[in-house]
Amino acid sequence: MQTKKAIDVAIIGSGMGGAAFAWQLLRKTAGLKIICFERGGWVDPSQFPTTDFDWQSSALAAWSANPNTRLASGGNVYSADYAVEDKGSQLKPLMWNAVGGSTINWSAHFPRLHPSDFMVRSLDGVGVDWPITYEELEPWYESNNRMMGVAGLAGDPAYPPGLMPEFPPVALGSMGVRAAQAFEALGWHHWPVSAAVLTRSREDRQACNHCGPCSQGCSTRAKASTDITYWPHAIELGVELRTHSVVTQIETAAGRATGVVYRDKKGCEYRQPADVVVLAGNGIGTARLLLGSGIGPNSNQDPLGANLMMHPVAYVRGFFREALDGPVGPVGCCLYSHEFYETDKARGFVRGLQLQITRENSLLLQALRTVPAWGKEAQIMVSEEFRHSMVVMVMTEDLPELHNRVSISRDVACDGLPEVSIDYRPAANTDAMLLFGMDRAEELLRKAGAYRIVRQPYPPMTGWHLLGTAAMGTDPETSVVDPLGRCHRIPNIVVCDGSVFPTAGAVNPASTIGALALRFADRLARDFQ
Amino acid sequence: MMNRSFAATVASTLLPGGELANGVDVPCAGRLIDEATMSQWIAHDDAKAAVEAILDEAGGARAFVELPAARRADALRVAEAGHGSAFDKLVTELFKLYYEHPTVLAAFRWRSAPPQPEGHDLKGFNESRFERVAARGPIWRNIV
Ligand SMILES: Cc1cc2nc3c(=O)[nH]c(=O)nc-3n(C[C@H](O)[C@H](O)[C@H](O)COP(=O)(O)OP(=O)(O)OC[C@H]3O[C@@H](n4cnc5c(N)ncnc54)[C@H](O)[C@@H]3O)c2cc1C
Ligand code: SF4
Repeated sequence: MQTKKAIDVAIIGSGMGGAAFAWQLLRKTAGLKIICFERGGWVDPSQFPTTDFDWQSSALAAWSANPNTRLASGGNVYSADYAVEDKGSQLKPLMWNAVGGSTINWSAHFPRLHPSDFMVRSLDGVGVDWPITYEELEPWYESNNRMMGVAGLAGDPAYPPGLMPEFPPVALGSMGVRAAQAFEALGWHHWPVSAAVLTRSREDRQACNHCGPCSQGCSTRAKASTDITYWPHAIELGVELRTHSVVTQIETAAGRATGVVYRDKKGCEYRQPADVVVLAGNGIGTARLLLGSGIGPNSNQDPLGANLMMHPVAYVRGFFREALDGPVGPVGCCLYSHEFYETDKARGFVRGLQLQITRENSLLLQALRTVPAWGKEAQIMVSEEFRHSMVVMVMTEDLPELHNRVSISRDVACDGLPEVSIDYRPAANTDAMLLFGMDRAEELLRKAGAYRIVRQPYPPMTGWHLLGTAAMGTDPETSVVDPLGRCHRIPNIVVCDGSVFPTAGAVNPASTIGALALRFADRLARDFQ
Repeated sequence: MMNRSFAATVASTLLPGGELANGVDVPCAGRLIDEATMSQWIAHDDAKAAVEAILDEAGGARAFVELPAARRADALRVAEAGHGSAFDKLVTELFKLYYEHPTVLAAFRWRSAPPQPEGHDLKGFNESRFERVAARGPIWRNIV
């Protein structure tokens, strides 16, 4: 195996965490030699299926959010996928493997955690406290917002003061207005979402034109993804982004990482010595590589690979006599309510949930909801539902449990890494939260005028958030990395992606992942100075 | 033997069209989808067991086509009961062909052109509507 010239920092993964880290580190320490290894290549926005007539069915095949579905359909040249065995998981893992990582197909809802999310053990006696606070992370949330470009409305009373989105909020549309009226009538908190979506054009990114299927890529570049936000700046500073390069091993000696082994597009293997190895392969990819490199587990209580959190959700859908514009607009970005976010023990559970009004399905996806029904009745159902529905997504807090985990097998997959599987089942507290949330969603939909309501708890294709498998903490027995992302066992390995979340909160994670990565890179930069 | 008329009749039994709710009026699937696509659909590997069960139940392709509508539906129900996943595959694959068809999209009052580059209009809103929400004061849990 050929050995390459030694570098200062090897980063693995170019998604939310890896991109923010690379940019920040070189910005703060000019002259470092940094290479980011990314298993996928660059995506070409002109190839996104949203300009094709079969854009709806492509979401069920090569442009599915699920890597196993993409592989089963013959693969997608724009995502270098690996199979994830998920029989033991109630939720299917969703991700994208290319420059930009899962921000290529994410929905760009960009909320922050609440201050209480960082202290769930102290406040509510469950999970663990984060080793950092909201206040400590706040400046990094701000920097991340500036880089990504965020639309929203200042003054949300569900958060500490100071959030100032740069762009005006995404339009609500008739469905959003109707939901807002219902929230108002119930006296419940509701607010236009923070969205990493431009509502006015900026530089080479156009304003969102509300086309709808953000999860199949955004050809206007209105939706922030790190290939178009962080990466051009990081590359200009001098970071090398080595695409089509799968890291198969982290090499260690005498308690230190010495570099990585990677495989290029042709299958040739190289040794890349590095002073520091930074992992940003997401909650599955990072654990897979750490486990495959023999960095754990040391016992069946080992936190490495364990504590997988996936943010279980329910959809509650209401149907209306009047036409609504549900399928129009960025899919994750309409309204949210944090009325039930904080703990109220009278509800029979601890922690809480968000209610999110998301946009609706395309005609085909709406019709497929009715399978296995067929015949005229099924067709009538579709005609009652399409353009006449509103969906409330209930997203609950997710807490760490050792049995929810990423594991590897002895068999080697075709990318040179061990085969990987996940096990995940929600806890009883989550069941209670979800039930409460579905009741509230139903109350809201009735208030909005729905004449029929359908509940869908734990829909499988909702494993968007892959968190917690290399959790951050101060105790090496119960956490994998320290408060600066450094591995307790091997301090020159840093993890800067969703894996480090000690608990998950009840909001989407990417803005926190970016903020953490910026903070960790800033601290590492000080070590180099 | 399977032919266009068998495939079209199965398709039209699954999706008979006609007047639906909210003023939607759609054609039956058998008349909408072209012959080559229809032959591929009915021969789908993963749906094979269900198609064979339909043929068995009806006594062949021609017999199925000649059955009264209610009996055709019965034959499909037998296939569905005996070969659930193959039958679901048959239905799902047909839905993909049907609900992505420009005629059907238009009947549902949806644009048949893809989402981009045109996008869609979306009504804005008056931000002052949220002043009342803000006026309630902080609802986050102050932990200091
Ligand atoms: C459909 C969908 C919708 C979502 N919607 C939202 C939302 O609205 N809001 C929100 O906050 N979050 C959302 N998410 C989640 C969000 O996208 C992720 O949490 C976030 O991108 C994770 O960042 P990360 O850095 O941990 O990993 P990723 O962004 O997934 O990046 C990991 C990268 O590492 C690479 N990689 C992995 N292993 C290796 C290896 N061995 N060698 C080289 N490269 C490797 C992968 O190819 C990938 O590019 C969504 C996700 C999906 C899939
Ligand atoms: S709805 Fe807006 S953000 Fe989403 S893909 Fe379309 S243009 Fe991009």
